[in-house]
Amino acid sequence: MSEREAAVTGIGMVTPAGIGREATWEGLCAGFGLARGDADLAGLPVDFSCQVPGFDGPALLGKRLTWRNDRFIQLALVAAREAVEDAGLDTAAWDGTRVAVVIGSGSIGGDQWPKEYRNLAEGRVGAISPTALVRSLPNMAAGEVSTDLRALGPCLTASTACASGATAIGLARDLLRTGVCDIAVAGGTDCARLPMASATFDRMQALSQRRHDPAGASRPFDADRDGFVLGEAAAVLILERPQHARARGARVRGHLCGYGASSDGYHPTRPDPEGAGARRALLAALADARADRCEVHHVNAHGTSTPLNDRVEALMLGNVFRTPPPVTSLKGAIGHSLGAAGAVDAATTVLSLERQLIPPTANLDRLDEAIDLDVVTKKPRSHRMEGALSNAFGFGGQNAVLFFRTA
Amino acid sequence: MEPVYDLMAHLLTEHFGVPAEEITPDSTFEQLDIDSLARVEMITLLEDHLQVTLRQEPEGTTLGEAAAYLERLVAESGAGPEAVAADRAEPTALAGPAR
Repeated sequence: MSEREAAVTGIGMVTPAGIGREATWEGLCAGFGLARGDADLAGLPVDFSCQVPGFDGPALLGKRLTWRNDRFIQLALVAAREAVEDAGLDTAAWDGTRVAVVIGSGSIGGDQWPKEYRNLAEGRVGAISPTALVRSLPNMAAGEVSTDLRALGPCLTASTACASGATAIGLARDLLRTGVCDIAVAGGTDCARLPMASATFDRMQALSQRRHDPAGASRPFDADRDGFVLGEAAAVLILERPQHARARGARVRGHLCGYGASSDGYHPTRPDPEGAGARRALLAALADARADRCEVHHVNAHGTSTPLNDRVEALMLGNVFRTPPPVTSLKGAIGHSLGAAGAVDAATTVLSLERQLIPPTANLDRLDEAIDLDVVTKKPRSHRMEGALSNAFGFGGQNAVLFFRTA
Repeated sequence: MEPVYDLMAHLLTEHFGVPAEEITPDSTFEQLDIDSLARVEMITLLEDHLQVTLRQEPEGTTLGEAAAYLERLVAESGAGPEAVAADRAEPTALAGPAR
């Protein structure tokens, strides 16, 4: 294998489908929408979301680690620990100076901001927690993961909105390629189901309004889709230089072969109507991998369930591929976890290649007539695959596409 | 009122995750791995529980000494929270500078 590529030797995931990689995989393959009422959003026009079931940060991580960290950091810590364990790495024994951490976050965070702003407005400055700032800084997920794992190489944060997780994984691959590290802990995390996020995305008319049917609200590519559903998640990959992985006899789940990034240069929130920016990112990922389009056997789509994104993404895929390969969107099941989504999609793409199985797009009952794609729905599809793409497109017109091959 | 020492011990275990068996009146904050950030957080929580405004504590004090000091402040504050000690001369630094 070329040293241009990165071996994926570990995966950790915490998503609304479950805590852990296998729980998530099973939940995704079940094919059901997992959105439900959210007590944290009570009283808001959109009062449902996709929540990680039973996530208890203090129980999983200990209060010493959780009292000063917002939920998006806690999610990342749990996912990172699982990824390291999955890779069979011993953080006590590794040369931490050769381990990088790159974690993406859209960081709309601030679990405690409402309380602290009330304190400020009421003149009670002394009641403001000293952690109010540091617990919500976008870089702190990477910082805390680095500290927790004693990963002492470059420690970076990518923030490209909904592409953050994919951008982080791409940047981590670049660090491996330049030789500044042997191992990279890379992924994304976000807790997007916050009252202000729900309120403001709702004001933007970006969220599904299906209050009567939260589980059916996120329906990528479906004719009746009306917006996305807020979620929360973290996913972390262990990337290694192939030579390093070979030398230690690591089990390799797949290879990250290509990364492409671009900017629409068009509008803060609307995609380029032709999908030109997304297309350039996709083609850049294939060029980076020195791969032909016919080597793409599956696309894990960004597929947010908004009317515009899904139509433009489908148009773009139709323009790139004569016959687009089977497509799926995980957001029908687990909603949109913003900065984590690109990493969740990437991790699942690797598992799909490993298992030759594509999870279905939940809630796709009737394909939008304007969308000409082979979207996997209702149940997982066995499919012969050697290469697959994972798409992520963010506000700001920031795009990141990853191309993986089987191990 | 709940004795301040018990309240501090409760906060140390319930909020900061310090194992109960490590907490004794002779324990220092350093020994309990309560850093500068945690100390400020502790003051914030104590103020909320005790309904007083506190000056910060001498650094390196033991838990027992800090509790006794706070008991005294609370007793003196009888009239109400604002009465306590904005102008007290006690040396301070339960909190220290972070980077």
